[in-house]
Amino acid sequence: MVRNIFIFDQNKCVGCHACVVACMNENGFQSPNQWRNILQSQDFHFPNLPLFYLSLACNHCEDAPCLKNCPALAYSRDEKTGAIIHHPEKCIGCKYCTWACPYDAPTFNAKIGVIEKCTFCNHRIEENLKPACANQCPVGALDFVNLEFSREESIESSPVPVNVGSSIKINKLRKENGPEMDLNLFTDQTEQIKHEPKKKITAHEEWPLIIFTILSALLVSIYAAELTNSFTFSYKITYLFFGVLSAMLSMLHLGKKNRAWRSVTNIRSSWLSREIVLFSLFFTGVFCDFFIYDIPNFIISFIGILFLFAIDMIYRLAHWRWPIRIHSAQTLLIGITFYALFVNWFELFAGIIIFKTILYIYRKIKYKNPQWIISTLRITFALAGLVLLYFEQSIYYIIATVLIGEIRDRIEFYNELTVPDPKFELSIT
Amino acid sequence: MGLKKVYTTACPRNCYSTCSFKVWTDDGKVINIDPEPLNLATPEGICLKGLSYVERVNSPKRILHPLKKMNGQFIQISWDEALNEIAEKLTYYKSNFSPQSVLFYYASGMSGLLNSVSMNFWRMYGGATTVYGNLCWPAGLEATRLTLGEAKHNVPWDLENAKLIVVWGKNPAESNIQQMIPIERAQQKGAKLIFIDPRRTASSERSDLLVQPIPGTDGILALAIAKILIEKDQIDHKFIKNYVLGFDEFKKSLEKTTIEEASQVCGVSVPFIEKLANFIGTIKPMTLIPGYGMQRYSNGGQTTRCLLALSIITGNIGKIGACWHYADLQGDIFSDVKEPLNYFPPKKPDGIFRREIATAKLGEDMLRLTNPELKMAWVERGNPVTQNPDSNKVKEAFRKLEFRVVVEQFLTDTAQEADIVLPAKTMFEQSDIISSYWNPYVQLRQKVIQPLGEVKPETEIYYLLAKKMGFPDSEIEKNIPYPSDEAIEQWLTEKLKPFPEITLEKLKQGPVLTPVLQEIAFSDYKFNTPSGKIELNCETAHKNWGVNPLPTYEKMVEGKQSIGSKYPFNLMSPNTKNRIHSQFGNLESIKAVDPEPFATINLGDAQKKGINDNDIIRVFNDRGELTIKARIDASLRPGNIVIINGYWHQEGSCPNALSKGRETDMGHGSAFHDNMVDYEKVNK
Repeated sequence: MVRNIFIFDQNKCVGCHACVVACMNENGFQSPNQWRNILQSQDFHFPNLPLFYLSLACNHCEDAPCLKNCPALAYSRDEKTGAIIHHPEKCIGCKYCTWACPYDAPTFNAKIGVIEKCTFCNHRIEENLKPACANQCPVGALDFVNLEFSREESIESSPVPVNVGSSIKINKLRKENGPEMDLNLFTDQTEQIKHEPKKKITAHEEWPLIIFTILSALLVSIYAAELTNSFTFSYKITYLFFGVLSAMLSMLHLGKKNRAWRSVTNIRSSWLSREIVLFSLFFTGVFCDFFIYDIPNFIISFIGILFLFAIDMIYRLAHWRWPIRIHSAQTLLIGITFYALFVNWFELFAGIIIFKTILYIYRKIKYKNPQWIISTLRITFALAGLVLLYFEQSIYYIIATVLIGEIRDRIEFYNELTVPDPKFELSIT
Repeated sequence: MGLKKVYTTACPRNCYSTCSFKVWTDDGKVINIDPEPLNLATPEGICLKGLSYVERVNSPKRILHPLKKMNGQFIQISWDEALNEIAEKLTYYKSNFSPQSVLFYYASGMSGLLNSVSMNFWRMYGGATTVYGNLCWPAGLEATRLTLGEAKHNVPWDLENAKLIVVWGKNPAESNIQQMIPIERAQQKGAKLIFIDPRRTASSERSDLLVQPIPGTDGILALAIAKILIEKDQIDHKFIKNYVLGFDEFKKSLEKTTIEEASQVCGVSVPFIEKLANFIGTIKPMTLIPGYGMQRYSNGGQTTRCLLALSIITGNIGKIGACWHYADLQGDIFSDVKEPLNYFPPKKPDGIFRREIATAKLGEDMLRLTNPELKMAWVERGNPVTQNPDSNKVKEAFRKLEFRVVVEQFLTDTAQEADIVLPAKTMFEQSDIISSYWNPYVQLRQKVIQPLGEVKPETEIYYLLAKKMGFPDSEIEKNIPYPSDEAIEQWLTEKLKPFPEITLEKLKQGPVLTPVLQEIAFSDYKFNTPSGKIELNCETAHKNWGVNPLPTYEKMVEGKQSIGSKYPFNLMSPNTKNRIHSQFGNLESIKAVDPEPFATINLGDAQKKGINDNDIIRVFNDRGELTIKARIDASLRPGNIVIINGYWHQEGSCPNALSKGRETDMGHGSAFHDNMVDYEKVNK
């Protein structure tokens, strides 16, 4: 297919940042994040490792993950130029696209509460001009052409291993190592420095989501276990209060809270939209069931299960760094755990705990930083729940024990959650 | 929507590239920049600094009105008030202390022929104290001039014809980015690329070999290579016989040093010296590209001569793909006296008028002057409080004055010291003609907008000041162009008269090749030296500067090889791609990519001192200190610390707080790279 693409020559780029400033001249000053960035292969310039650069902005993918995953339909494709355009007036600032994009192109501007992104200089392409960055590269390392560019070439060229039809062709290094140097000069230093680039997602920053997901699992399982049937009025109000709380928590990180309604506009392709719709349906259903007229429990429970499933699907864009794409702290698994507990179904509870523990141990073995002491504790809490249930101890103790273990696991979930990130892909050690 | 217009112009910064570019204006405002492919040396585009002009000219931080310091604060005053006060002071100092009690200081902040008008004013005033020498390149320039007769090299695009490119102490990816284009082309065609630099830079990343000597010892490394080339008979006998004076003496002088001794001194192992020699001895044509940093040591001139000897004995001069690529002054057709000769003060500089002090020792010399003492300073196109060596002393000297006038675009460290700041033009607000020391073009820096606010070009400031001073109209008319666009164009047209090939109209269309251009420098094998030959053995060097007539390695005054150097680390202060000396760093678009000053230190050194990446360190010696963030570079040669030059005192990190005012061995350059320091972690 003939497409508009960037061509980037790794042999020519010296990381001069002219493209970054050219972009600001054309599209306005960008702060705190620039639309185009220069990445480099290593931070500390080790003598035996090569240093090379990558100038990266939006690559206007055929299957643009930002467009597909945006719950608010804030992205569109210009069919004429191939540009993926972000519409700030539609953006709710949920930052989901920053997780979805493998090139780190959309960035969240906290000052204005919305995402900002490269436009391919669509206005220039329409006038048969190259994007400003490609136009101004002083060494001709970054260029722009209209060229036959197949999906295979696109995958082959992509600086991040994804198959999304990105519009960037990379001329790879002729010579992959750095210059020959006298390594004897550098015998007095370590060969590595412990240093990890900052992850896009951490539990520390996503704490509202940890509470939101666990609370959701709890509320759905309480309802599914039919515990609500015996609820007094004030219990029902409390239950719904937690529903509202979890809704508020999930909105806490939105840059534009008054546009939250837009988040349901992309049911067609965004799991985030679907999740929000299912969440609303579930609690609307519960509300009706409580106060207006009786709805069969299995209908609302089914919606609840779909809701938990949708939460998990939001995280499908992560590439877990181990082969199994099921995590022991997936929301649905947490939901089932509590359901088994609430209906006092020992076999199911034992089965799910064992399943989760196996997943957990397998993951820890594969993970480079297993933190065995904490991990053992987490397993202990899960098994303790099992033992306590077997010996028919107080349900509150069991819930508390299991909950602690689940929270820990969910924290790990976010800390281990990695989405494609060019910083990591390019980094060599 | 106003009226969009596009002009071709050229960047007047003190930079190799001297890029041509197109500038877009809309209703009298600079709005964008485009590449100008007509300049074959800079066809693809300009660097990030050039692109940041869009911000720079429109910056809210720009000074747009005359300012006066009252109780430590600058307040806006009218031009009339400013000029009246200045005229009054000038008259007072002239009649009470003589014109030489006023220092007229300018530097390389903005190039252009109209700059000569400034000196015309000071002549009319009756003279002034001025500076001689130069902060940048004179030692190497003088070494080149003495050896080859003049400083010129092949056109920049000839570099792609080289089969061996040796870049010695230069980081073109940051200081001359378009040079990376022919380097890459040459590499595509199979050329070998070698870098010699204690640092491992972005430029050297794609090279075949990186040799990392101890700073300032490049001379002995070059001599060791010369010795190997001669021993292996990898030299060009025919070239030497026909065009070189003093080869035998040079050869003999090399007998004194063994390769092993040289290796000890320069810190490059014998196998690496041999590797380097093998490249130079076996691959032709070779272009040798020396940088300027290496000649800012006390031995800078002799070091340059040692390096140049390698190009000479291998016959790599005057051929396609082969040259000594130091500086090309072929485009400088307007000066009566070319650099570096114009840096040397004759006995009575400029008749009776000028008293001169060394720019290398500005602070010390300003404080030292008596009869008359300095009372006032006028500074334009420069930021001496940041950029001259031993800047604490420079600051002290400025503070000791009674009255200071600074013409500036921004409140720099020097402007902060002023009593009156006059708003300076940008390159877009007055036309002028510029040449380059790298590309062979004469270019017009076009006026594309009216000066913003109350900004006036220096020529107009001097015109008005001359009127206030009551100089006779006939004198003013002779010396200073009338402040109108027509008069400026007329003035420039006069300058172009001797060169019928170049007209102002042509220059408005784009860059024009210099009429005297020799694309392959010295291809006629004419050398403008006393002997008419390339002078390896140069009596003039000995006579004028007291150095050895032969290229020799001399110990630095302060550097690592000298005994008694109390501080163990060599402070290198190279240029960064993000600034031209002290310009550009204050702009938001530059800060977006380079937010704060940092010092680069070697990993092993850092580990010994318990310093981690991003820790704050204190860098110090007897002259001063600064605190700065440390960044680890595991490929910087141990024993060195790098703080790029151009950080302002206001940023807390000006490396000249540590440097010493000292002249180079020749050319009246500044040896501020001869600078030893120590550093330690600052515990918060």
